[in-house]
Amino acid sequence: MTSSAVEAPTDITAQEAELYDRQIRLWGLDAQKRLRASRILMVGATPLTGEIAKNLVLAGIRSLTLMDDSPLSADDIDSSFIYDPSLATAATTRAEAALSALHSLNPMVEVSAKSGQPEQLTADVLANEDYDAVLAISQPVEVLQSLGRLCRSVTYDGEVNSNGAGNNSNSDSSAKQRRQVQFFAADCFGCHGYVFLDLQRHEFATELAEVPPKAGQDSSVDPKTAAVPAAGSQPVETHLIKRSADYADFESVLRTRWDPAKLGSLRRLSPALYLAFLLFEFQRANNGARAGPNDVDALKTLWRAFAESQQLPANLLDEAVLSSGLQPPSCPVLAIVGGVAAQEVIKAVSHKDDPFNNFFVFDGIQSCGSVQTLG
Amino acid sequence: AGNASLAREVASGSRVLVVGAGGIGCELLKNLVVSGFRRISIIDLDTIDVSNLNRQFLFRKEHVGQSKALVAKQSVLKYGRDADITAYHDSVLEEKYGVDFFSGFDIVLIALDNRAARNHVNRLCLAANVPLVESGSAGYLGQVTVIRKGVTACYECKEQQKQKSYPACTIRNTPSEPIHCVVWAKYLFSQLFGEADPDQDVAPDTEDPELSSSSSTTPAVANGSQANEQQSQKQTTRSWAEATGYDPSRLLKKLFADDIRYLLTMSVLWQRPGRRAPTPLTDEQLDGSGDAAPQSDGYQRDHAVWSAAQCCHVFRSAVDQLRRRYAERSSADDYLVFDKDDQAAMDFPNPKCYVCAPQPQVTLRCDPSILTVGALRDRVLKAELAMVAPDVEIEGRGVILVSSEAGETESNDPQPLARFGIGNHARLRCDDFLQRYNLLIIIAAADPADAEQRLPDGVDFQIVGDLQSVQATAEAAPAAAAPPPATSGRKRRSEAVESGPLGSGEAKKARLLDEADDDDELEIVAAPKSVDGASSQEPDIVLLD
Repeated sequence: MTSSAVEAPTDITAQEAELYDRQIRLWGLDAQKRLRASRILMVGATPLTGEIAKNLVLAGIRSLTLMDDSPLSADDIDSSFIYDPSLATAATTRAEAALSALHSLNPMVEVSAKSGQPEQLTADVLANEDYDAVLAISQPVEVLQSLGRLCRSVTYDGEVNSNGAGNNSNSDSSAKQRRQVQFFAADCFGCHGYVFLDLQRHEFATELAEVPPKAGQDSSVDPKTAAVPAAGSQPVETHLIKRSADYADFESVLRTRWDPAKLGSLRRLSPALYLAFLLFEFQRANNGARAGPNDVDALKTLWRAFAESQQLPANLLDEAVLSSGLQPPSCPVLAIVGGVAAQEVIKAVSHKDDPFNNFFVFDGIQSCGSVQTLG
Repeated sequence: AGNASLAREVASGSRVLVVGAGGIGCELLKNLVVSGFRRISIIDLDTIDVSNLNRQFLFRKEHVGQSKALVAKQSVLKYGRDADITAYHDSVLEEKYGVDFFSGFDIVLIALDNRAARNHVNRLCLAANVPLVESGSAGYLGQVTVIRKGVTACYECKEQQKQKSYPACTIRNTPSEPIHCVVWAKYLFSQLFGEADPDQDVAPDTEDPELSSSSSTTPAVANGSQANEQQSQKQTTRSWAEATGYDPSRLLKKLFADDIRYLLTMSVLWQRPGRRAPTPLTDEQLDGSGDAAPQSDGYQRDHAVWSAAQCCHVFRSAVDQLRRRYAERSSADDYLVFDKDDQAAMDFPNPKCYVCAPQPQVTLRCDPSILTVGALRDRVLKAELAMVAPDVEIEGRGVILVSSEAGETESNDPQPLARFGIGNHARLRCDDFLQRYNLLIIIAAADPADAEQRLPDGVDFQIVGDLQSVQATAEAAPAAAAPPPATSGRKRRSEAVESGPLGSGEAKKARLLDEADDDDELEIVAAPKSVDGASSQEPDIVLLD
C-alpha cells in the first residue's frame, strides 16, 4: 500500500492464514499483508466489474467501493452472476445490486456502494477515503482521461499536487508515507477487451533465481537406481530483489501514433488493439456514446480517416473484426479480461512482481492476449 | 446480433459435461450458465475444504465437508437461469461412466487436477468421438487445449512432462535439498502408517552404489547401536515401529540420532566435496522440553522456522496422534492414507503431497469370448511380456482373476475372459511382485463381424503398445537387500470401491488417483495424428508384429 520501504501494519489472523493459504504460497505473506490493507474504488459496476471485483474480494483486500448509479436492468442481470436476481424489479442501482454477492464471497472484505458521478470525485475525496487504487470500468474515454489525471494529482501524506490543499484524515497515520493512487482502466467490446495501467513510478519486489556453481559431481546422477534421476537436480536459489518501473499517463497513451515505417510489426499487432483506439475515437466524436452494431458504417468511415491521418494501411482492421467488437461482451470474455485485470491490480497493490506496462489487449477471435507499451 | 442469438440457441440445446468442480470447474460452471447453457452435468469425487474457499467461489464456509459437485450445482442454480444441472459426487473413473455415458454429451470439459483421470477421460472422449476441451492450471500458469478425434492431437499424443523422481539412495542417505526431506517424510509416513512399499524405505541404504565405488565396501559397524538392530535383523521400518509400540521417543532417537550416526560410519559418502555431513541430534534436543511447542495454530506456526526442540515436540505429538489412529483402524488390512489437509499427517513432519509412479500400459486386441484366463497368463503375460509370477486384477471391481499363489485361481484357467464380464474397454491390472512391475492391460474386443477389426487368421491376440518399454526387465529387480517378509506390503485391495458417500474405500481410490498421477504412458504406436487433416485410422487399431 505504500512504497516498498514501509512494512504493512498488522499481522494476519489464523483464520486468514487458513483461508488464504494457497495464495500465500504463491505470492508470499508480505504481499498478502499489503493486499489486506488495500482500499480500492471501482467506477462503473458493469458485468466486467463483477468479474474483477469477485477476484479482488476473494484475494482479501481491505475494502471495495463501487460507484455506479445507473439503474439495474434486465440485460445486466442476464449477462452477469454478480447482481442479485431478486432485485430485478426493485428500483436499485447496479452498484447496490452487486453488494450482497460480493460480501458473501468474502465477508472479511468491506464492500460498499458510493453514490455520485465520476466527475464529482476530487483529490480530497480520494485522499480522505484513502484509496490505493481507482479502477475505471467500461467508462467513456473522457472519464478515463479525467480520472487518470485525478489519480496523478493525489499524493498522500497531506500533499496534493497542484490541485488544492489536501487534508486527509489518515486512519493509520503512523504507517503512511508518500504514496500515489494507482489508476486502472478496463473494458470489453464484443469478444475483445483491454486493460490499461498507470502506476506512475512503481516499486516492487520480484524473485530472482540463481543456480549456484556446482561444487563437485552431482550425486543424484546414478545409473543403478530404479527411478529416473531428477533433471536439473542442482539446488536453485531464489531471492527477492527490488525493482522499479515508470508508467505513462493515459493522455499520452491516447495520443499514440503508430509509425507507418514499421509496417511489419504493425501487422503483427492484434487488430483488437486498433479497434480499442477506434472506439475511443468514436466516443470522443459522439459525446461518450458507446458504439453498437448499428454504428458499423460510421466506424468504417472513422477508421479510414484515422488510418489515413497516420499513413497506415486501412486493412490493418477489417470489417469482420470491427463488427466482432460491437456486440455485448460474452461471459467468458468478461471472465478472461476480468481475471487478467484483477491479477494486475493484485500485483500492483501488493508491490510483488511486475505488472503489465501498460496496455493489454485480449483478442477473442485469435484467443490470445498481448501487451504493448504505449505513450 | 445474429451471431449472438445463434450462439445462445446452440448453447441452450447443448449437453455439456464438466469433469471436476474445483478451481477451474467453478469458473467453468459459472461461465456456462451465464452464457446460456442449460443442460449441464458436473462430476467430482471431492469434498470442500476451507483452503478451497479463496478461489472455488461457489463454496462458502458453511459448505466445508460437503460434496463439491452438489454444492456447485446449488450455487449456480441461484443465478436464476432455469438450468438443468446434474451433479455426480463420484469418481469419473468408475465403470458406469463409460463410453455410453460420454456419448450422451455434445462436449466435455476437463477441469481436473491429475493426469490419470485426464488420460481416462481423453480416451473415453476419443472412443465416444465427443469433442473435449482440456484445461489445467498451476500457480500463475494455465492452458486450454481443444481435442477433437482425427483433427487435433489427443491429450496423450505428446509425452507429458514427467514428474520428478529421486533415487532411493539420495533420499535415504544423502538428501541435500528440501524436496528430498519432503519425499523422505512421505515415505516415512507410508512405512509407519500407510501401505508399506519396500521401494520407499527410509532407513540407511547399505546398497548405496556410492559405497561400492570405493575400497571400503562394508561400513564399519557400530557396536550394539540401535541403528544396526534393524539392519542386522533385516526388519522393515514398520515391524520395528510396531515392536516398539510406535514410541515417539524411540522413533525420534532412531531416525535422527542412531540412523545418522550409522550414516556417518559410511565415511566415503561424506568425502565428496561440497557435501555436508549430517549432525545427529543430541539427547537434549531429542528430549524436547514441555514448553518447546511452536506457536499455536495458524500461519505463524507453519511459516516460522522451528528449533530442533520444537521440531521434536511436533514430531512426538504427530506420531502420538497417528499411532492412536492407526491402532483404531478397522482391520489388519487397513492403513492410513496421507492427506495434505489432515493436520496430523501434515505435521508429520510437514511434507507436501508428492507422487511418481510409472504406469505402463498396453492394449490387448482379442476376442474375450475365446481367449482364456490361462492363455492370458501364459501366452500374453509370461511369454510376450516376460512376467514370471503375475497377478491380475479386474480394475474397479477388486476381483482377482489370476493369482501367483499356487492353487488359488487354477479353476479360472480354462474360462474365457468374457465369463468374468471382461469385454471391450475392460481394464486389467497386472503386476508381478517379484519384479516390482505393474502393467495395465486394456481389452480391445475385436468384433469378428467387422472386417477391419478382425484379427488375422491364426492370430488370437495382439498386443498394441511399445513392447520394449513395457516388458519387465532385469533392471526392475528388487533394490532392497532383504527378501520380503512373509506378511509383506502386498495387500490385495480386495474390497470394492463404492461410489457415493465417501467411505474408507473412496479414500483409497482417491489415493489411487494420486498415485497414478505421473503415468509414464506409452504411446500407442499409430499413424501420426495429423493436426491439419483428418486421420482416418483409429489410433488403437494398428498392428504390431
